[in-house]
Parts: sequence; structure tokens; C-alpha cells
Amino acid sequence: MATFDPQEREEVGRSMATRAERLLELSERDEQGWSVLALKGRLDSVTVGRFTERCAAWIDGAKGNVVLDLSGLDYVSSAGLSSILGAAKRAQERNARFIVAGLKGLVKEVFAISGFETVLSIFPDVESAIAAS
Amino acid sequence: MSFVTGLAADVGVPAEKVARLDLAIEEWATNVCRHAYPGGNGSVWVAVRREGPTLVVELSDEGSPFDPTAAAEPDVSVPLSERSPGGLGLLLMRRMVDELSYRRDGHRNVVTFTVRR
Repeated sequence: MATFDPQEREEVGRSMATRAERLLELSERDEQGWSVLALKGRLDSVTVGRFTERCAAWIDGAKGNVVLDLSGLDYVSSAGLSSILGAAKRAQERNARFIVAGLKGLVKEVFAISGFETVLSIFPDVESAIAAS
Repeated sequence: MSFVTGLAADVGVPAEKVARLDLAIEEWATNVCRHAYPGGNGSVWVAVRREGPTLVVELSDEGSPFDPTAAAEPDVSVPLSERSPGGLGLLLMRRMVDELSYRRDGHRNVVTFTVRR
């Protein structure tokens, strides 16, 4: 059985955090009054903690509506989906519109299988999301 | 688990299918971590073999008996406010591989993914 002493556990935690930064890039920008959070890389059980934390702060700090730009995302697992669903609910509670843009490849397929295409507002890209709203 | 996906790529499984296998393995691991060992720590076993044009990945744990092929699929058509986050992992796991099978082997749950190249 694998057990970790506290120091070892701390080292594992630190190395996970570094790995999470390498596997998922997050960047925020404003476009015509919309707050955009762009993801690049993987949203999985390693990176989801970092995303959830950053995303909550981003929604709370947004002045208006929000767009999650997934055009740079290559991979999403159920851990990531749960977090996106949580973000959508958080935005809804703050009366902000929550839009997802730029699904492609495996991420698009995972959204379709999970039924997220019908429960979330989804647009091909950030520009069309803003133009349509 | 990157050794499994690395191996899959090495034997000629296309990148798109390697990513799907990666996802299936993550969902299996997440499920085992959450449910297989309620007491805390436990072991898992991973075996990979090539059978002609297919790659067979066998994943085992010694947790309580659980057959992912028999689990009910979640209702993915309900509105956002009524959605619960659980249940999607097994659904994704099923859809990401060409074949999924389960057997109880003594004290072990053995889940097998088959991926055709």
C-alpha cells in the first residue's frame, strides 16, 4: 500500500501544481464589454482544480457577460465538464450570460455525448457569440 | 497512465484514438479513486497487450464488485438547473473505446478496453 509522509505529500502537491500549469494555459481578455477566459491544453483531473479556482474568481470579477473560449482546448474529461457546469451555474446566479465558444475535435464530441450542447449556450467562436448577443 | 497511451501510439493507433483511450483511462481511474476503496488506499493493475490489429488494455482493482457495463446511463437531456455532475464519466468511458467488457476475477474487478488500430 502506498502511503505518503507529510513532507512527501507536500512535494507531490507542488509537483502536481507545476504540472497543472504546464498542461493548461489560462488567459483572460475583454472583448466589446464581454469577459473572455481562454483555455489552452487539457482540462482533466490534474488541471481542474486550478481551472475551477481561476474561473470562479473570473466570473465574480466580470462586469458583464462571460465567454469561455475553448478553441485551444484539446481534451476535456468528466472532471472538467463538472467544473464548467459549476461555472455556468455560478454565472446564472449572478445574472450573467454564460457562453461557451470554439468547441472542436474530441472536446466537441464529449460535449455532445454529455448533452452539454443542449444545456449550455454554444457558439462556433467568440466573435459570433458576441455578434449574436 | 501515459505509458499506455505512449505504447498505443507506438503500435500505430492513430492520435485521435489515443486521445480517446486516454480519456477512457482517466474516467476509469477517477471512478476507482472515488468508489473502489472507501477505506482509503488500494492498488490497481494495468496490463496492455497487442492482438493483431487491436490493442487490449486490462485495468483491475480489488474494490467492491462494480460492473461499469451494467451501470445505468445518466439522463443527459434534463435542464441545467436539474443536472447533477455525476454519472458522465462512465458514459464517456463507454463511448471512447471500441469495446468495453467487465469480469469479476476472484477479488478483482477487471475492465477491458479494446481499441482497433
